[in-house]
Amino acid sequence: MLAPDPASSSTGSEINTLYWIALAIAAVLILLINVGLISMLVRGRASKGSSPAGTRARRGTTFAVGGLLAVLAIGVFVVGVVFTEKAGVETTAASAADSESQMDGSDTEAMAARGEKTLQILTSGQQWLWRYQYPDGTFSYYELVLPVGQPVEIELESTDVLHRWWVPGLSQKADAVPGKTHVLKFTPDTEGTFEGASYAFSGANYATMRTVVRVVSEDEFERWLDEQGADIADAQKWVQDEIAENGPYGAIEEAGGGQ
Amino acid sequence: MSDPIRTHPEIAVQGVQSKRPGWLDFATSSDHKDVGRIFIGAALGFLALGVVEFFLMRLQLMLPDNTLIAPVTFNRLLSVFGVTMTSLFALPLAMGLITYLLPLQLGARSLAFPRLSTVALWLFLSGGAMTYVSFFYTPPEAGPIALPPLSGDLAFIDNNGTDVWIAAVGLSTLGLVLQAINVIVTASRERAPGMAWRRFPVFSFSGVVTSWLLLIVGPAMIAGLTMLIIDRHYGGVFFNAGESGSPTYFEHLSSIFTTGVYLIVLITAIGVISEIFQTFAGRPLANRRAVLRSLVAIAVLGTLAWMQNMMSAEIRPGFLYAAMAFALALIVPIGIVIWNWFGVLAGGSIKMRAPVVYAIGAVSLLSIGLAGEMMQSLIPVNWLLAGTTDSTAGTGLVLIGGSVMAGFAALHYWLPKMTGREVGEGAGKVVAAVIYLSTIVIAACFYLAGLEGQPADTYRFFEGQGLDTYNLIASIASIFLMLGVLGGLTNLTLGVNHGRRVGHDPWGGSTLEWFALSPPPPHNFDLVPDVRSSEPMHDIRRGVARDSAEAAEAVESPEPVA
Repeated sequence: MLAPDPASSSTGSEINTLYWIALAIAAVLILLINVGLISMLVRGRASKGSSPAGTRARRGTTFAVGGLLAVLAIGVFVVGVVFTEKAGVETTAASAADSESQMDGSDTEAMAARGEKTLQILTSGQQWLWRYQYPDGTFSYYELVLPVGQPVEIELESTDVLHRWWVPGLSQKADAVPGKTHVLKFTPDTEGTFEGASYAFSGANYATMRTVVRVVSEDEFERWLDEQGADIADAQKWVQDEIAENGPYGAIEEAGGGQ
Repeated sequence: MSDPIRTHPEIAVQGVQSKRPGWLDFATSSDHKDVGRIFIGAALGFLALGVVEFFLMRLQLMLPDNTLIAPVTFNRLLSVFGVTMTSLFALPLAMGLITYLLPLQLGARSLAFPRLSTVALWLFLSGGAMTYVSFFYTPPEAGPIALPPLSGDLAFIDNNGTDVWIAAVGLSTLGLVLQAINVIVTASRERAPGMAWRRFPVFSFSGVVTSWLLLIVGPAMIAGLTMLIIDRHYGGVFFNAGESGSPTYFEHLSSIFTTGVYLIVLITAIGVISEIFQTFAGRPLANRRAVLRSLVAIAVLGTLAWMQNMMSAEIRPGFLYAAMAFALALIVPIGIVIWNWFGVLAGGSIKMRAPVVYAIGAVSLLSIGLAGEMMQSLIPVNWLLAGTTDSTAGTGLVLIGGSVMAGFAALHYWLPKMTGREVGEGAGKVVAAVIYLSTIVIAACFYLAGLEGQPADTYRFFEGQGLDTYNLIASIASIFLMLGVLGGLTNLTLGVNHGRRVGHDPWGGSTLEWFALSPPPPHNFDLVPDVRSSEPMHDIRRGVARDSAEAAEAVESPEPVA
């Protein structure tokens, strides 16, 4: 019940591990404060009637408590930094130049060693849909299909207002801001269908701005990509034929469109 | 209270008649007590409206795929609710309490700029009036914080609702910033002789800290709002992507402000709770200096951590680590404050009156909310929890704990000073329990729903995602929360009008407001006392006892008259 959605990428599993650590620390702090409060009250009630004891002799304890808390804060900070690095914070603030320079580094070698290539998906948020474009120009709305085990780079953009892309268990949350590209990387390691949504208020139908990520095997991904590409080509061909036959407006009316 | 007949019998003898009706005198008064009372009264009125709006939103979110309230209507409720709970309730309540009490606690006869406080009050009231009058034309609908481009470009929402939001937040923030200047100057220039900074009552000190904080975060928001309105109507490009502007700039400015509001709620609550624990335990904080310094540290570190609200934005990792460091550093000052509260409670003979019950509930809710905030300041956990109903739960716990519970604690504690009458104790304790329990239930449901991925601020949720039970329980609990808050407000109103008369010094507090009459006369004190310690009222009581003992000895009477 207290568990987040199961992780389906290494980013997701680092996030979930740190979540459990943070929850444990938070639970201990909440318990200490509330149990302390109640027990102090009981002690205070017990001494009812007696005159308040002298109090000014305990300055030193403040420093001890402060030092202890400082150690706790530093410890939590270090753990936070370690897990942020492991979950891949380098994904934030990656402009085009930055990501190229990163590609020159050890990442490329490691990938080359595994014979892997990063799959770049141009992801664009618009009121109230997500549009995914694959390297070969094929695109899809709402549903993103990914091959399992291959590193993915989501290049987030927005065509209108601020959106925030997140699929629990798979990635971090990231803002899609108009005029900027926000790159985030992860590698899905489990096949399955994962539901996500937009997490930034974006106007009237914000609640319906949802998405699905379907992680499939390499072969199935290739098959789907070809199918989707063929479907899109068919649709475009149909429109072109209609235009050739009836002119541009006739084609739109035929399709039931037009605004 | 400025009835000249009751407070100045000599005027009654001379029969001076006011030419204007009493309510007009009250509304245009520059007496800090009248201004403070209107601030508090208006803030509580907005709390009543806010809690009803919350209930209406929960009604829509009671069942999956509910269509009770249309999406646009829900967004309007949400936007107005956001303004109401922060700019119209939490900040004005804190500022009203400070306006009323700070001069009394410091032994001052008035605020430094009395007429400025009237202006501040009416700026805030016009912001509030504008928000609610908008229901007759177009209420705002761009969310609790209207972020550009949604709010910056008429292409997305082409009505003037967002202008209402900008004007309402801007006017009330401007009023509060002016009053903050007033409070700072008063604390520096008008205090009684001997009232050094280290002898400040914790509540007054928290008032000065929050005023400085408001002076820094308020103008950031006003600047952002001004740029936003230029963007909307006069071809500005401050927040337009691609023209050397960026929507993220506004996110920074508004995050600075909302972080400031959060901290003002927290610091004011610490001030109130410290005063109440000291009075009812009958002993001072073991280490007041550390507590006062902690308040300053909370204000500085907390404000610097504003980017903790924007960890999914495209910000360089170094800045995010800095935000995480500042947010986690808050553990130290907040822990020191709580440790000192333990010290006060443990050794004192605590009396479980209504203010103490409220204060304990407030500490408990704050502890949970702050622990949640600690979790969210870790960047990866923030990616997991932010933007879901988890973050609503964390903010809600601190807002209800710090503003509603600690606010009611403050009113139960200080209304006898303002009116000379006591607020109902039994009803108060019941209300405290109802608010506490319903808040815990709602927060737990929000937390669990957030872990299932329910986004915050949405007008509907979908069936088959494991969210049904949580939302249903939260909606039922919201009925109790609404009844609790409305019941508490009724109890306060009854206390003001019909409460038992309790005299000038009902609790035996250690601060100077209890030296004044209840209600205090327009000039507060006939005699401004010399302050010789951090507990001037105890000094005065001891002095009076000693003097009367000596007087009694002089006339050889066995009974001291005091």
